[in-house]
Amino acid sequence: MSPQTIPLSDLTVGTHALISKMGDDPHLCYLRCIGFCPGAHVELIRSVSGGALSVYRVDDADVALRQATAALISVRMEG
Amino acid sequence: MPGFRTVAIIGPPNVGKSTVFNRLTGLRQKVGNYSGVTVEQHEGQIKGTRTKLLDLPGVWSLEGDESDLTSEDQCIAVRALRGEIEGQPKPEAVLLVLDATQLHRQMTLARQVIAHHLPTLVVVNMTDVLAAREGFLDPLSLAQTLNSPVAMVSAGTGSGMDAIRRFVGVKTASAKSPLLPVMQPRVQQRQIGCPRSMSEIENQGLYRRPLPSEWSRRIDRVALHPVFGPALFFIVTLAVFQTIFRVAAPASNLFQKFLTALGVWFGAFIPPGVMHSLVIDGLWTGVVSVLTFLPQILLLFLVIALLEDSGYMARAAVIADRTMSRFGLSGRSFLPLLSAYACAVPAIMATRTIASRRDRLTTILVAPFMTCSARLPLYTMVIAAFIPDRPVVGQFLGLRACAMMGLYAIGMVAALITSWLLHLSLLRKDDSAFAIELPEFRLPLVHSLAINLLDRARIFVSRVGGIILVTSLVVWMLANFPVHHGQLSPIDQSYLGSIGNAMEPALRPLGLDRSVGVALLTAFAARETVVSTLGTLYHTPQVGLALRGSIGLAGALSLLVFFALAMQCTSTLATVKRETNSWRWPLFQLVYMSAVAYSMAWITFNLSLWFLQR
Repeated sequence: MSPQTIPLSDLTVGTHALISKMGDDPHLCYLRCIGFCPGAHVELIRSVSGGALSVYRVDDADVALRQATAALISVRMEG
Repeated sequence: MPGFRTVAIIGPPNVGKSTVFNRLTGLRQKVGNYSGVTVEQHEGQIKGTRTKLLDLPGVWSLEGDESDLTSEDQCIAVRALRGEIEGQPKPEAVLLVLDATQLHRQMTLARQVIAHHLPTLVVVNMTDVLAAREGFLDPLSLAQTLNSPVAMVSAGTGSGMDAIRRFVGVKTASAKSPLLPVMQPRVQQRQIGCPRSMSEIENQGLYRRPLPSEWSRRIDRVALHPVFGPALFFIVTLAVFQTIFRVAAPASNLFQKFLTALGVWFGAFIPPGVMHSLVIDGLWTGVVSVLTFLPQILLLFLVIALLEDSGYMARAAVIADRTMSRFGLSGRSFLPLLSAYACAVPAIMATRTIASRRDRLTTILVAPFMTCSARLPLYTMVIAAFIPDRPVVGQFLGLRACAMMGLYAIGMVAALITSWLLHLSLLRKDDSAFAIELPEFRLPLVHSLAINLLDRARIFVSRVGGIILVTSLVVWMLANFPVHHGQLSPIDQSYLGSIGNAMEPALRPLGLDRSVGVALLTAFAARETVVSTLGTLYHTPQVGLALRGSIGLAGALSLLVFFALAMQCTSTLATVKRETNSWRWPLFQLVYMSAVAYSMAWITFNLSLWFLQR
């Protein structure tokens, strides 16, 4: 992973990022369908259940992901 | 225009496809504010036509082979659209339902559907929500972009539905109205300069995304808060059980008195003897003892429908995911498990939305532990008979509500432990991914709630008039036959007495008598029949009082635990067989759950005896 990119799971609440790469895990197919695509803007809205899950906003929709799932997605921080 | 013979409704999950289907057919397909409410295709006939309408499960993509599609319900949708389902004709036309507030996310699917070259009407639903949140769409630009006609509708309120009827070839009263929100029948050719994507439509000012629902986000701050979220979840659950006793129980008692009086009045017209015993002691007593619980059942379904339609269920799944993941389940299993509170059969079918086969199988195997509504009559009756109506937390929470919640908790804990054991043994797996969309909160429609409750009442009453009536008849016959010298047998010498005697050695360690044993046996026909069978055997609709005289508190607690954990539903076993395509899993479930139920009931009985004798 290049220094500019971090896993989605490392975002802090309130920060925005651009999705740079999606992993190959077949479970991510569903996420691609609902807007988690390279180039899409993503924002971490809140952490839930002691950080076990996080709610991200992509394309005006709120989606909850497990940390392990979010770690499969790479993002580039936005200014 | 002759109209199409078969039309399919397709679209992403949770965009209102079933509401459109219900509006067009007059049927009452279940709807809800979360993804995956429709898990199999449903058929109906469009009112006033011979056109068959197929309601398909929600899909996000039509591309790829079946192994690429995320879950079984999506495979069903794709195969139906391709005409690959045996005995099902290929649709001649498509209603592509999209959510007006989320159009930009749904264009990929829209293009894939239109690429099938079937006549397609793009139904842009929830236009009322779009307008209310200051969004805007120029339908002509969307029609030009997709090269298909567009209808702007609100299936919830029914506005714009005539446009769909015109598309499928139904004459409508307002067919010539220039105000109909439907575009020209077919956009023949893409015009130069017309937009190619939603981004272009947006950039040209022809689509304005709706403002975010601020109050929905405010509710989420509480519903998903690390502390307030679980607390709210707990309070909602508690309130449900308390309401069942505080609100529904008095209504239930009144209803029982009315039905009993009706039986006495009707019985006066039947001369004493075999016929009187059959009609009043057998059939009427059995039916009344179950029908009495209609208020509780309806209240439970009202609360579940309120939570589903409002959008809270998806938040509850998020709150529950952390706990469920520790036991090898994902939050995706939560919604099917929650719907098992109503009935395990649709819950097991709802597991089709779970992509992971192991997660799905685990959910299927543990779903029958969840307390279905058919267990409610016995729970309510035994608790009311044995547990004092004592406050625990002021007037807000009573001991009976706590006992009821405890029974629901027993089922949930048994499901979690079983899942954990499966995770460690037969269905070992890595942690699976979990992602769930959180729909905007919305006010449930009174119309939709009323339909839901009417349907539930109809199903419950038809079960009482069907399987429960027949079981009451069979139980009465077994309890009174053979006939000696024209006289009915006393229970000790009846067929049922013989069956009860054979079962007694197995029942004694649980503190149960043979009447209860026979009643538990009839539960395999339908769980509610336990109460009606006891009513028939004890010759009274006030089964609780009769039980107090026969099994005592320790036996009652043992009965509750056994009933909470036992697999006593043939419909569920048949559904598991169908969904797993094997007898192996339903047989495993039957043996495992029976063993767990018997052992836990034995432990409960002996612990209760020990406490009571101290």
